[in-house]
Amino acid sequence: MTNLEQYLRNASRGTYGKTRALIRTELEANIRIRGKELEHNGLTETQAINHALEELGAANQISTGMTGVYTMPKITVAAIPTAFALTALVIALSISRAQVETTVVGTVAECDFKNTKTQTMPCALEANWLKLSSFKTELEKAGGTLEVIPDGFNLQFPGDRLVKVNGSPTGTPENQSIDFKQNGEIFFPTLYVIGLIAEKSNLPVKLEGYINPRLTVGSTKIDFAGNAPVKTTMFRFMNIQTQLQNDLKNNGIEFSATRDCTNMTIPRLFICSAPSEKTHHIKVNAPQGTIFASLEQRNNKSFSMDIAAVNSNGMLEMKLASQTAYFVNDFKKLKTGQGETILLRLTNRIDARAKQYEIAELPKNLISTAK
Amino acid sequence: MTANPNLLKGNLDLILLSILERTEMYGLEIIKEAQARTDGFFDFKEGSLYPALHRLTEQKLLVAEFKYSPRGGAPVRYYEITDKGKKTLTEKRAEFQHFNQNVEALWSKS
Repeated sequence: MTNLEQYLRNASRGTYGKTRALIRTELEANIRIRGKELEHNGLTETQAINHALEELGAANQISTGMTGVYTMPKITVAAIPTAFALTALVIALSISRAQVETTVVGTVAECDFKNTKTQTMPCALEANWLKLSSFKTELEKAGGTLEVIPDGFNLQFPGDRLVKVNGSPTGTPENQSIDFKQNGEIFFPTLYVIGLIAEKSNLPVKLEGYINPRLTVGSTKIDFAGNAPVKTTMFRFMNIQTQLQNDLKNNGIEFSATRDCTNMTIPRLFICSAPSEKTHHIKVNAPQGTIFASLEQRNNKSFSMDIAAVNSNGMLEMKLASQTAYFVNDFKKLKTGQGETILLRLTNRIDARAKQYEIAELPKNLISTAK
Repeated sequence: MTANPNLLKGNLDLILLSILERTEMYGLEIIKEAQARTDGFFDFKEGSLYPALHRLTEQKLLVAEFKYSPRGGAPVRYYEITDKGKKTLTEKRAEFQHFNQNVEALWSKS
């Protein structure tokens, strides 16, 4: 799909039939005339059209304006008996355009987190598979687009720029490359797709929920769930690393890129869970579902981390290296093997422009002992 | 210097009817005419122009028709002011002048 076609689609969204056709025809004619002018200034046809689109401004503002002209008046004059019903209809329409929630079914190939000898990063990331046709259906309902191309797919959330997700058409369920195909359906790693959206989107991107998360891109919400829980543990570990590395560096703390969690293909900060770790139950003042990460300096340049969500009792169940953990609120106070631990409260923002965690505020001198 | 977007938005009907008062035009021409007559002060962006033209057409202040442009290419949608549009323009112009005079009076008497 060309940028022009994409623009026309977005600009005419929310209008139907002849009105939609009229808007598209009018815009296209004006854009092409402007494009021809720009070609005379030395731009290629593609460059000229893209420039003309930029001059015209955001497509979604046109669609919002046009919806106001053609769609909303029809709602207000509709024969709805009560003001309550009218209000309900307007609310329903606004939700269906801007905040569609959806369930995307993924097939699951679980990784064994306990077997750190064989665990690899791709396995961890690909534990959940996104059924692309389902994602496309729900994204389009929300006003976005998804188009499969020979080397992956392009997607666009309403008001956002195009995001390309690279794939490989050669994958099979037994031998996955990036994506794979089964019974005519294409599957991509769910968290790989979410990660790319977070990286490339122009809009604020949030991921809420420890399992079966909700992705919010701008004002569009997509729920992920499947025939087994969609787990975000590894994704969240990876996602906070850049900020964490900077925070540690800014506090004069070095870390090593060598990991004892084998086969990790990227530098990691944390040591994978091991039998020697102790289970702690930590009371925190945060709503159920709030996600925290723990960070301990385990030995020189090596850290241990865990991630957990607050349970219904207001507790975090975390695996820590120490029998007794002493919670601190400053990276500088982390000391080798002394049980000092920092709790990081995740903000759920996963795009690089935002703070992805903040140091949790805990009661002074909080100590936890493993049972 | 370009127009404050809020001022532009608040006076969009007056601006568009004023531009179309003399002759029919299509979208791109309207944008250029506005820029040319005001030395670039009015610069329509962010999708405000086309919805406004459609709204004024729905209100019967403008009529629209697809015609071939002298530049060639596909037909473009020309907008022409109606009698009702001219009457509205006269009213809006008077309102604006009245408002403007009173704002200026505030400054001159301060």
